Amino acid sequence: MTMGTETRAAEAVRVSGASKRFGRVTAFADVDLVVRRGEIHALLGENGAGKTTLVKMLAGLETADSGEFWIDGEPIGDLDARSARDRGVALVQQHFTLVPTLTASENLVLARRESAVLPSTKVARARLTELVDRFGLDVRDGVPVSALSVGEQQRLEILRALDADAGVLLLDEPTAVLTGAEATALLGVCRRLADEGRAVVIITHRLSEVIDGCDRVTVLRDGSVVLADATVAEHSAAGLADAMVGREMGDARHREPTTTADGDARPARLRVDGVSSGVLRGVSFGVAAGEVLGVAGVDGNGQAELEAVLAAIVVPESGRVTLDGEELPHGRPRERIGRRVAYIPSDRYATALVRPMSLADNVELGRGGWWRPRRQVRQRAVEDRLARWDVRSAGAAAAVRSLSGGNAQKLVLARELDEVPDLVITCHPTRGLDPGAARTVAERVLDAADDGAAVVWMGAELEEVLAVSHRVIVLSRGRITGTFERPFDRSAIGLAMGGASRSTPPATPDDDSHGNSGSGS
Amino acid sequence: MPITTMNRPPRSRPIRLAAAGVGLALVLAACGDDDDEPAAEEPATEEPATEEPAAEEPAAEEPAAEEPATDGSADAPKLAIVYSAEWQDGSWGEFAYDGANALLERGVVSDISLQENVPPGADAQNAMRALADDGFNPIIAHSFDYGDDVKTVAADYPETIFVYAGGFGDVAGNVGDYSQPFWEPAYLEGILAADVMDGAVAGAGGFDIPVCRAMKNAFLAGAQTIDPDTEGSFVAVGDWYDVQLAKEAALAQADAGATMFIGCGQGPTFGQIEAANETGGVAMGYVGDMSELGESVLASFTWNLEAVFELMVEDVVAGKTEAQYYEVLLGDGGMSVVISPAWEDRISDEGMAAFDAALASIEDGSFTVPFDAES
Amino acid sequence: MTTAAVELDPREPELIETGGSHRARHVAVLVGVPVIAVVGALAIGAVLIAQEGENPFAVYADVFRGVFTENRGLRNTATSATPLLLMGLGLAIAYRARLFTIGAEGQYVLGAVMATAFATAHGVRDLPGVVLIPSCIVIAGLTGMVWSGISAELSNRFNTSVVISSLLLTYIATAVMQWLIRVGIKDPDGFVPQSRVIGNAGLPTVPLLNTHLGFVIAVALVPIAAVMMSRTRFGYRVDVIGHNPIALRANEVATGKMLFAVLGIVGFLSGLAGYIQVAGVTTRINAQFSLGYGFTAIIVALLGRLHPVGVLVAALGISGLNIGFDAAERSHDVPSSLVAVVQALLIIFVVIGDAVANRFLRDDD
Repeated sequence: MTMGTETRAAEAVRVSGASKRFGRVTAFADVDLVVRRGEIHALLGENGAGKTTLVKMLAGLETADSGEFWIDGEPIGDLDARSARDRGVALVQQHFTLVPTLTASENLVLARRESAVLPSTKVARARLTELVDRFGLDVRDGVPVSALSVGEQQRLEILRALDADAGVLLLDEPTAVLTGAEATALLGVCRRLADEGRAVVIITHRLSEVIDGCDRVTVLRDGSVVLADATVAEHSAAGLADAMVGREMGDARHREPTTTADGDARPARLRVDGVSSGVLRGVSFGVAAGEVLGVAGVDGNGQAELEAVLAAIVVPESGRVTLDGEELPHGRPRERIGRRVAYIPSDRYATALVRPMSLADNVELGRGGWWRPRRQVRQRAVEDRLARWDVRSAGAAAAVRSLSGGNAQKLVLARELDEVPDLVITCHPTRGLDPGAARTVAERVLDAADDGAAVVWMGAELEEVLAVSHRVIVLSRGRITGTFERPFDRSAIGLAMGGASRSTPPATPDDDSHGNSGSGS
Repeated sequence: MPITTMNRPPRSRPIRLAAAGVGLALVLAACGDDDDEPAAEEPATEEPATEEPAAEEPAAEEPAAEEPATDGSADAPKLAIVYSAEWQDGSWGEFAYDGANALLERGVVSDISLQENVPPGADAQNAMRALADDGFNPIIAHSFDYGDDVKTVAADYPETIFVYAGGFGDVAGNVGDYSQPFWEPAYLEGILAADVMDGAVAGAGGFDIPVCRAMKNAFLAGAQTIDPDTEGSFVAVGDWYDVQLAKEAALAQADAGATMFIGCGQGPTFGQIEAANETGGVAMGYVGDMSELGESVLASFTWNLEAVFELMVEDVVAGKTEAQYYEVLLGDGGMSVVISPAWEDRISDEGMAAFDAALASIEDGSFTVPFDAES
Repeated sequence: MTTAAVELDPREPELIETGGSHRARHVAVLVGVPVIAVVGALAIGAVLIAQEGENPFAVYADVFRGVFTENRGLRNTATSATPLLLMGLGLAIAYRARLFTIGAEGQYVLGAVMATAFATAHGVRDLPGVVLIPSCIVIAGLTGMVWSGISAELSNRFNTSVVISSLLLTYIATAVMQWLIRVGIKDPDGFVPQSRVIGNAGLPTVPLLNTHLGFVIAVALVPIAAVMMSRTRFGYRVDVIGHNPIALRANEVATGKMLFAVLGIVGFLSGLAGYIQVAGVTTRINAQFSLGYGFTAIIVALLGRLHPVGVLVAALGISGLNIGFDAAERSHDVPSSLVAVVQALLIIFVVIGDAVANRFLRDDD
């Protein structure tokens, strides 16, 4: 494991003129990439720009259609998984490849077997401990990997890569699943690994990470390199964003409510009265037409339960939720959709989409009558809508799994928001999206508010919640520990998230309508 | 029959397991020596051949369909048998298989069609209709369970003789039945059993049907010629194939003092053999030499179905369309008792003499083993 | 479409619903793999036949003759395909919903038993067929439905595996049948345990086809099932629950209800198959009634690629193999286990073929 002396500026990887197509779809074309030892190289681009395919190719998991490759200055004819591994190229994929029922050390020894017989638990543990100590990446052993936090799992993935003597470490969106602090720590680790003479490639969307943590950057857009091997220090975040998206990035997500001018007298469309469900305990609030209510809080404090209750999936244990005076049809999703409640979940693949089925079929989810038109008719019927919502795909007949994350989320919007909703329940709808797609998605949701919908925006990303919301409530241990009006007091919100109950601003505006909102039918 | 076998209770695994040893031995034997035993060829039709003409007849003589058809007997009838289990079972199926092949070799029939694994019901009816269409006559349904099917099909083929293993004279028109006079060997076996054992007689059958009762009563009668005080009991296991159930029943009888077991049906017999192995009693084999199945097997009897089938063929040759109750008794070579080699030396001279005397009197017709189906 | 911005995820290609040129290829796989599998299985079967000292071509000629030219070959094929088809249709729907029930045999047996018990009951047995047949269809179907519904209820309430509960319920059903033909519905005139003859509830023979009415019913259900799967909300939900039950629950309907609906359909069709078998073929229930059609139907559903038309083809194919090999067995010295070997090979080849096809789908374009 001697990485070594002064190999700085030595080229670890060089790619020249690489192209890759999947059927009729070009993943990337004529791409050049140079990665040097001792550097952290950011690979930046929108979802679907071809970054993941590019790093998979470097790790030998995909075969390029054309292009030349050098590793450590040596030309490589056929780059397959084995030869990549032998040359010290290791990829940490976005979706983890750990065995969830095994412990960390078991996963470690399973990945790199030195003989046909697996080493004893004791040996395995010692090996993990050694790696943990050497790289300062803390991973708990002795419990199933499924019990570890996402951050820990990722550190374990990285340790596995390092265990294989990786000289070139490829990280596919390593920070997407991490908290801010974890992400910062990870970048610190990367820096240390680079200082030891490794080349580190990080795929990311977060411009701040590129600016703060990386040395050089290559930007891909639509499968082509638009900014090649640039020094990060010479670019601003805005400049990189422009290169990535190919257009000026707007700012100002938050908009003033347009439907009703008179801020304080607005009646609540959505009323939540004393709702308890799971950890959620007696939560009450209201959301007016055109208003975006942010729900902030640390994960596990009741957001998931609130999301399920508001989306009418789960029947609350007590309390009631009314929209325009009528109770939400809990447990009857079709009726919820009939009441024009749009639901845009954070985990679109788990809740909102059926990946093997076609775009047309997914647009139909929760909608449509008992009889369905013929397949071709169904597909033709949605083409218009897909175009309107800018869902870029191989057509309405294509499977959703062929879509990039941003396009998949736009498909959800095309279904949920095409008809102006009365209520939008959304939870971190921009998760995992590149800035361009994220902005589009956020704007479309805010458009719905402009059209008079009440919007509840839950999210792990506080920045985003604060950017879009008119008002924010904070959940902690299942209770509302604070209600905040613009301009937001971040330290107070932080305290409330930590459980310190007390709202800063005056009483909530919808208290006026509290009394008469109950019976509406 | 195909995949449907996977859940077919009637031919449950215990039988195959139990018969595996015998089966394997027979298959090996069959494959091993290709040469025909000349004994099989010579005997004239009605000659009482005590040494089984066809018992160990090589199954390797397979392509039966082709050669004899050309050797002059082409106008002889074509005989077909359907059977619910597999031919190589060392017992009921195998004697039928061998009997049919023996008739073919002797030119008594010009062609045979032997179909195994035919479940009673639609499959059996399909098979018999197809056989009748192809000109087979007689058609033998070699299981009691085919009764309904035979009657259904026979109604549509009045010119063809159908026979099934009813065993109680169930004859009507072109539907015939063939006897299983196993009480005769059972009587002889009773003599041997009482010679080597003290205790009571235990009979068992799949169900409480006359033939099974008669076997036990004849066995008891034979035993009483040696020890007049011998008592007997009978159980109906409730299943022809459940060896475990049969063994439990036999053990219960052993607890009540039974030491001599006579089974009716394969399952009950296999269960008794296992029970006798454990309790030190003696058991009798049922249709086939079962001496290999355990040290408790004192004697078995073999069944000369060649002779039985030949009676049917004779009716066909004679142009008859009325079937009968075909019965070949022990005296006519229908069955023979096989004493297990391990027991030969343990039978007393007096016992052996009594056995021989009884056998002789049955064969010369001076004594008839009574068919006693009463409890 | 725009050329860029589509990052394909080539990891898990599947055989359901894709677009464009993919579709043609999927159809090719759906049809091509079974065809190749049949050829492969018969080729190996030929080697085994030759091993037995028989001429494989002659044997296969007789297999063919047994189905197509022998007097009742086609009729028998249709008759023995009937229960396979009925149960295969239900199982195909269930398997598309990824509800892997293997309890059709039990539902089949109980449906038959209850319908027979009703039709042979004192006072009922003299009613005319026009009354008895529809009543028996309803009774058998509902019995199967209830029996299958137990699996759904157990799964909804206790989260038990449908695979296991449905299989265990089959053993119970068979035992109940064995008990009833000895005690409850036993024919007092029979030596062996068996029910009375179903009599007036027997199915008439359809004039031109010369098969019993049940075959016509089963075939009529094929287009109905096909339309139900492709053109109704129910069929859509079946596909959704198969791929993503959470999405179904969040957008369409509670998954528990779908579980009941899908397993209910399996049960109804299996129970119906049981009655039709008694009323069209066996005329009564005896100890050998359960021949494993409910298990063979699993293979039919899978070979039929979970599509109603495919199930029809597979049911006729499997049944034809059985009938044909039976015929061949009458004139050649081939063991009765041969057809089982050929069918098992068929399944293995389809599984291998699908795996290989998936690999190709993934790599080339």
